[in-house]
Amino acid sequence: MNRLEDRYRRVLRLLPASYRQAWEEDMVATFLESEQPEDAEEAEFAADHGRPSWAEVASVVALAVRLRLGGDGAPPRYLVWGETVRRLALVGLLVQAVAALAGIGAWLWSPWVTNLVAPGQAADVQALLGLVWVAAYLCLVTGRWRAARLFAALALARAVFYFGVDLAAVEGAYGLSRTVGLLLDALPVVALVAFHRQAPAVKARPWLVALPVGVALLTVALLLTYVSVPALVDWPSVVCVAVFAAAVGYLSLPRLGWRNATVSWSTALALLALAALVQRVVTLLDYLRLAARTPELDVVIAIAAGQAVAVLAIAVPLTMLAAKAVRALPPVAAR
Amino acid sequence: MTEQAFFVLTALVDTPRHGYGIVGEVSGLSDGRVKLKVGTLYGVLDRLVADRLVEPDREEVANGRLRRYYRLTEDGRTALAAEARRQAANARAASERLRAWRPADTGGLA
Repeated sequence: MNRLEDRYRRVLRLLPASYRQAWEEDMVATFLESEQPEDAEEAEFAADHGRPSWAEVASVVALAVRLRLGGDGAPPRYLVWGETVRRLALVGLLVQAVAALAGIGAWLWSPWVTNLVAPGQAADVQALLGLVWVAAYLCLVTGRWRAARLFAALALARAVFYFGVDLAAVEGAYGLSRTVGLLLDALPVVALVAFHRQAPAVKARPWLVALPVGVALLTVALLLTYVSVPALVDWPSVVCVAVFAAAVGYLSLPRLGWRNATVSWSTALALLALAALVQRVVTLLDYLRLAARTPELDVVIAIAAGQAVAVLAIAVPLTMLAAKAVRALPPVAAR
Repeated sequence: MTEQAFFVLTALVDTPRHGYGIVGEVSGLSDGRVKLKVGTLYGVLDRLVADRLVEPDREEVANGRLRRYYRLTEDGRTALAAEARRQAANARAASERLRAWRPADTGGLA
């Protein structure tokens, strides 16, 4: 085996073992033939010093993503991972769309409340730009995933821009919280790779209903926070409460058997709980580290700590349920 | 049917071919426009085999390596013919419109 072949086989390790068993030798033969210069001396040089081009590597990466985040006709295990990542994308974009719409509503009603959704902003332009998330979400649930990718990338670019502006404005304070927040914004955008030609169609209706319902719930929650006890002290606490409520609802539903749909909701909810927990803990650490201690802040910290414990408590049974369900799936056979 | 799948099926109409043979033939058929990367080719082939439009033909050893040849199935031929008819109808519709069109100031259709 020459070094070029060795390097190419290393790239192919990105593909599932079952796929490699069926196709690897053929792929290697085709690759080496396509890379073979006619001149013997050049061929020897290529064999020793050649590397697979970026385009070749990218084509293998794209194939690996499509196979591992499977769609129609994929082995159950890969279908579950595909459905899990697609649900993360859907839920992530739903959260962004709800936040954007509620943010615009709050801005129209009172500049004060907007601060909870988009902290510390002159909110007008930023709130309106949030509509790009709504466009991405609506495209995704109606099956236009290519357009959804474009809108989501634009929305993320906007998030990156305001991340830089905000960080400069406060001279890097809460940098950790903000960085983690940005990474969580990026997560559903990256997760859109799981929408490909073989991905099953999204059932549009429940996701379309979820948008106004989510906006209504968030608006009521913000109003309650405004007039009474501030349980929703910041954006991570909104996410914690939403994930906690969803997880409790899901765990208390009567079991429908280990269908694929159920397995991928277990895995998706477990990952969402993990994301909510990470964001909650990181913001809590920033509060403890950076903010000047006041009685009000002590209340906020106590509430945030309580939320972290609650989400952790629900994340453990969710993760166990998801892990058990994934283990119960049949192993992937070679095709 | 994607353009890539269309060209892979077309490349297999006359004779069974191996992976590298398909890459070269597709490049020729598309006037060099479609250059299949290996990952892309096998992504397409794998779907076509799963859909029974293409099947393995035979294996040969060349330069110490196994070459696997693929051939078109009857279903593949039917699917390609249907797709070719659809594309031809599209092209015909466009060509007819273009023939009928004259710039507005020369008295044709606006």
